[in-house]
Formats: sequence, C-alpha cells, structure tokens
Amino acid sequence: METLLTGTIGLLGDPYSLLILAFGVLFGQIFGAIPGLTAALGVSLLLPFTFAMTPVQGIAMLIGIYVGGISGGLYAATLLNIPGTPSSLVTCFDGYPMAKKGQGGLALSLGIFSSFVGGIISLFALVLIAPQLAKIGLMFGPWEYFSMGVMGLGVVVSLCSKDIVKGLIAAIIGMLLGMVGMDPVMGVNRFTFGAWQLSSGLPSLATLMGFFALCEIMTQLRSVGMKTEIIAVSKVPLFPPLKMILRNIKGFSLGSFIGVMIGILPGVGQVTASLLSYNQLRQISKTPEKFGTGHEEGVVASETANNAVCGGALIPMSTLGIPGDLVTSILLGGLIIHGLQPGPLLFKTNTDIIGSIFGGYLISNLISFLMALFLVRIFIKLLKVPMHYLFPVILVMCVIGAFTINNRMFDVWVLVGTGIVGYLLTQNGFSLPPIILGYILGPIIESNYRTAILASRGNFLEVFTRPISVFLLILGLLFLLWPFINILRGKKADTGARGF
Amino acid sequence: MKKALWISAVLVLALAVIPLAEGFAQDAKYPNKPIKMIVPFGAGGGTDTMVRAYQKYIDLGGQPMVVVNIAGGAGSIGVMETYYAKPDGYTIVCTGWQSMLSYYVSNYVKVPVAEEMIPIATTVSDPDVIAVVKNSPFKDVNALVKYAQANPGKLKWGSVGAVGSNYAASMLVWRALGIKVTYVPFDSAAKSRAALLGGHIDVLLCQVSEINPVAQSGDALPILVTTKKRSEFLPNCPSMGDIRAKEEFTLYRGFWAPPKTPKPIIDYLEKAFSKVHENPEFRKFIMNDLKYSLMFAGSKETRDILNREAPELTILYKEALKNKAQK
Repeated sequence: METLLTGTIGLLGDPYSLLILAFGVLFGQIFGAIPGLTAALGVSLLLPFTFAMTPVQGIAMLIGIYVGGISGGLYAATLLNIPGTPSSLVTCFDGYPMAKKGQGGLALSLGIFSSFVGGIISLFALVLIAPQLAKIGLMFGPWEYFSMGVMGLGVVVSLCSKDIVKGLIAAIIGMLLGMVGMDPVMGVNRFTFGAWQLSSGLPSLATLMGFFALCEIMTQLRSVGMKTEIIAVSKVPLFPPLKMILRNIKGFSLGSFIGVMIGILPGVGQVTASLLSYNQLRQISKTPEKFGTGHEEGVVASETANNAVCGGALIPMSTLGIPGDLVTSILLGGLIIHGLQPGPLLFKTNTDIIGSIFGGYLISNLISFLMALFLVRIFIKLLKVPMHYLFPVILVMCVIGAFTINNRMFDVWVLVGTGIVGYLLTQNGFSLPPIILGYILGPIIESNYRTAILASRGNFLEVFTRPISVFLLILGLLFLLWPFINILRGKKADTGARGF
Repeated sequence: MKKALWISAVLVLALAVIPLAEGFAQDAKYPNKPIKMIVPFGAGGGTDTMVRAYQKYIDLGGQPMVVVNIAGGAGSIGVMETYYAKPDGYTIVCTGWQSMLSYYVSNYVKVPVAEEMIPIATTVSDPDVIAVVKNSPFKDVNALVKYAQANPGKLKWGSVGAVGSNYAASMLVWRALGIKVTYVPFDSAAKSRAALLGGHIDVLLCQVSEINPVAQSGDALPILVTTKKRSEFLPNCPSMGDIRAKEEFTLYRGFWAPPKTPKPIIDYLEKAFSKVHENPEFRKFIMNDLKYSLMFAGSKETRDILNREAPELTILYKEALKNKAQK
C-alpha cells in the first residue's frame, strides 16, 4: 500500500512522466478502438521510444498503452459488432444487441465503467496480495492448466444452446485450427500443407480479426447501398445509473475475480477470462435467458474481466519476473533495457520501480476512464460516416495490424482466409464464439496434457490426485450438465439467444 | 453497385501498396538504405534486447538498422524469412548455428540453413545451467546424481522445447553424470521457470542469462554449468570441468546473412559489428544487464567452429529425435 502511495505521488509530482503516461493511454485507446490494432502491437511499437526515457517514464508509458489498449476495444464491439481488440470479443455478444435496441449510450457507459472497476479491483489485488496470488499461480502445473482448459471447453454448451450439434462442430473446427503448426512435443508439422510459414500455427491476431472483423464486414457488406436502419446512439452518460451499478455488483466482483485469477496464469489471456466470466455470470444470473439479447450483465461480465486480467498479469511479472501475457513480457524487456533485473529481487530492492508500476497502473486506469468518456463521443460521430467508407478503412487497418505483428505478408493472407472461412460458416448457421473457444483452448489443453503425461510417465490418473485439477474438472462437468440440472430443477431451459 | 466497386478499388489499392514499398532503391555504394535486422523472437526477449543494443551503437555508414521481430517456430520462421530474402546485405538475422542446425535436423525446415546461410559474426555465448528450487532436497550435483542413480527415471527434468539445443544439452549432461531422468518439455521459458519455482519439476535446464534473476534472489539454486569453465555470472556454481566431465555446451548467438551474400558485404558488416564490441558502454550493458558472455568470432571463424562442432551436435540431435520417436 505504501509502495502504491509513494509511486502514485511520485508520478503525480512529475508532470513530464504524467504527460507521457497520458499519451500512452491515449495511444493505447486509439489502438484498442481500431480493429486490427491491439494493445500488444502498441506496446511493441513504442518500446524502442522508451529507451531514451527514464525507467519510470518508460514503464508509465507502456502501462498506459496496456490499460488504454484493453479498455478501448469496447467501442467498436458495441457499435459495429467488431471487437476493437480481440479481448473485447465477448462484449459484442450483448453490447451490439444493446446498441441495436437503442441503448448504445448506456452500453458504452456501462462498459467503460466496468473496465474501470475491473482495473481498480485488480489493482488492489496487485498491491495488497500480489505475493500470495503469485504463490497460487505457481501451484498451477501442467495438469492444472490442462484441467482449466477442459473446464473452459464446458462453456461451449452455454455458447451454443440454440443448436448444440453445430456448436460442437464449430468448437472442433476451432480446435483443429489451433492444431495447425508444429506439435508441442515432437516438433512435427501438422496441417501446414508444406507451408513453413505455418509451422508456428495460425497467427492469432490475424485469425481472430479474420473471424470477427473481416467476416462481420462481409456480412454487413451485403446491406451496403440498401436502406438500413442506422443505429441511433443515445447520449453517453458519465456514469451508468446508480441503480444499474448496484444491481450489477455480482457481475463486477465475479468478473474481477476471474480476470485476476486468469491474469496470474502465464499464457491464458483476456479472451478466455471474459468468456469464462460471461459464462459464470450467466449461470448464476436470475435471468440467464436474456444473455445475448442485449443484456447489461453480459457487457459487465466481459469488460470487467478483460481489464482485471491486466492487473492480474502484472502480479507474476512484478513478483517473480514471469510475464502473465504478451504485453507484460514486452514490459519485462523494457525493464531489462533500463538495467533492471526483473525477478523476485525487484520486488524487494527496487521498490521505486514497483511503486511506479503500481502508481502507473492506478493513474492509467483513472486517465483511461476519463479519456474513454471523451473519446467515445468522437467515436460515435465517426459512426455517421457511411459504412461504404468506414468498412474499407477498417479493413485496411486490419491488414496493417495483421502485417505489423509479425512483419510478414503471410499473416495478411491468413486474415483474408479465415475471414472467408468464417463468412461461409456463419452463413451456414455455425457460430463463431465456439470456434474461437476451441482455437484458444485447444492448444492449452494439448500442450499441457502432453507435458503432463510425459512428466507423470504415461499415468493420466495423476490428474485426479491433484486437488486443483479435480476441482476444475468438476466445475467443467457442471458447466456441461447445467442445462439438464436446470431442467431437473423444473426451471425452463435457458435458450441462448443471439443465434449462437 | 457503384459503392461496391468503390470498396473493391480501395481494397485492391491497400493490398497493392505494401509489397511495393520494398521494391525501391538499388545498389550504388553499400549500404545506401536501411538494413533490416530480423529478430526471430518477440519484442522484449533476450535476443531482441541484445539486438537493440547493437542497433544503438552500430555505425553503418549513416544508415539505420531497422529491427523487425518475426517470432514463431522456435525462431525458425524469422530465419527462413532471411533465408529467402534477397542476398543484397539489406536483410540479416540474429541467430546461432546450433539453432539453425536443429531446425534442419529436426525437420522444422527442409533446407540445411546452417550450412547455406553466411555467418557475419558470432558475438555472444550463453552457457546452459541446471538449477533446482531453493527448498529442493538436492543441494548439489552429487546429491542429485545419487538420487537419480538409485531411482532411474524418477527425476523430472524440465526445459524449453522437445527437440533442439536444450534437449541436446540435457542429453550431454545426462551422459556426463550417468543418470536417467524423465524429460519434461515446456513451450516457453516463462512457464518452465514457473514450473521449477512451483515444484512441478525437480530440475530445470535453461540458459545462464535466464536463471540469473531467480538465482540472485535465492529462489532457485544453480548447481551445474554446462561449460568446462565456470560462468562469470555464477562464480559459485560448479562447472563441467569441476566434475571432470569432458562434455560441454554453450549456446552461441550472432548475425547471419542469406545464402550467396557477396563477400565484400559480409566483410563490411563483420567490421561494423566488431567495432561495436570495442564500445565499453555496450560491453557493460551486455554483461551487466543481459548476462551474456561476450565473444567475437568473425565470419570465417564462425564457419570453422561450425565445421568442427556440427557433426557431433548433428548426431546428438538425431539421437534426441530417435528418443522421442520411441516414446
């Protein structure tokens, strides 16, 4: 707590650092808001510029981009049904239907507020119990990761209750897509058809943007030139109504909890966190049937969780020197460049740096919140631009984003390819969320299973000897059986709307 | 209809612009345009940070060095991008011959990249180290060997990658110590370190530069360095020489150009890199902050090292593949 205070005061007393941080947040928000450009891209592009700064300034800017980038994804998700960054993918589920119902302003305001809440709660986790949480993170070995992945797959049922068979097919397509490239143990190339570019798998940004941005644009292109209803966005209030905040306390706390827990596990990420949080909230909600139809709880679940991941991911980074996700691994590189050894010692000896991480994270969240309220007004104005101008621009941005992340043209073709595949699938009644679920969780399940089975010398029963694994597997089973349990309890089966 | 046309026009333009940008400018005096330096790993990692230090200090006749990260495939994708690039000296890559050899032997790539690529210089070496967690029952190599020999296959030995240099180094150590263990491959350095600290593996084999932070804090205990001489960064940790083993492994990193790059260009770049090594500020950064051992082997010397050591390593890599296939 003391570290946070001194760090915050230090930053507040240094106008230059503060300015750099605010610039970082702005840059991040813009990157987050534009489909195709992401927080990770923003951080890696601006990393070289931090070399000339002091460590505190450099860290402040990178954290600003991180927070801004994750927060900025919700505008496009809500207004265009295209996630500005992949981490806001789940926000589309309810944000866009809300906007269609004329509650766009409310959805945006709620999303911005949820982002803020997720950020602040995860800050407290970071400041108060980081060492303890890092220990929990270390308890996760291969079996635990495997079980978590399996549990996550249980979510598929609630993502596709409309047509369960097509939903399962879609999830399997996703898992197959996740298998492309070198297998995690033998190093054998799979489904690459001789293209060495594919040996590291389908590049995730290009794939996700293909499925969500390109595919959505193609779908909406069909109505370009026709008379379409223009989404009228009501005014965005500064805060969502107090009543609404109060009735969503459950969502805020659940989303933050799941976000932080996912954040402390290396390599799991925002999308999984928001999907899990969405699913969990729906299962304990009084009105699960409303999810997907433009329900405020859906926006809360997604936006709280994805921002809470940021604070969570900073925990293993600052206490152990182990990055929780892509952005934090770049942040670590930034520390090394400034002559700081990231690792357990940093937490003990360089309290000033830790303080500026904490303080930077707090101030970033505050600035991001205020800036979002301002930026969202500009963004709504942009919507007045006719779709036949807007879509090509978004497409160009997606191409630039896909190209820049690995600096190769191949990723752009992946973007185009997955976009077309996604379009064909959606036109035939398959839904995309289960595909993404399979695509993200498939590799986590596979590589950890294979590592685990090698470590236990072929004995898969070991998974049942570990309390965390067993707990997660039971949870996954409950997800799967939830619809039946509800029927048994005499509740009407929840019919997932939004045509999943 | 008109609008649809307009959209497609913009799209076609957008796709056309990117490849165009590469085609301009040719020849005259080398270098007369920025040199693209491919880092086959993500931004912020050890290799990336090292390259950015070179970027800061190198003098390329006024031309900038542009760092481009092409991650994936254990570094093989960035190397292959370089392999297929024009051999005009404007695209080079930071890698090592051991890694390139493993891409080929392990069938990641179909061409013998290590032999065909042209070395510019080998500039750092980073030995491997085996480490245990601080409350491990094995406080030194002897205790570890005693246990492993009494319980063959019981010890969980983690590292990054299932084939390739880490596995080869592990095999060398097992041979030197005369032990049998269960090898547990991880897909990232971060995860393997977390697995060691969390007690999911008994031993971790990784590079000295990677273990340093957790070794300094006392959370991990390095017990053996895989070179004959002790590491300058872990002076208290025994080396292969201390246990009288003849095996040795250290991971080299340096700079490579596409096959058929003309000799004058290679000479120019070799000189530019060797100049950087004279800069004390640069040396301090690499040693103190990155914990890499500095060295300098030029183009010819690197080729000599490769010719001398590659056959043995190839055998080791092949053996590693065979071990995997039997499982």
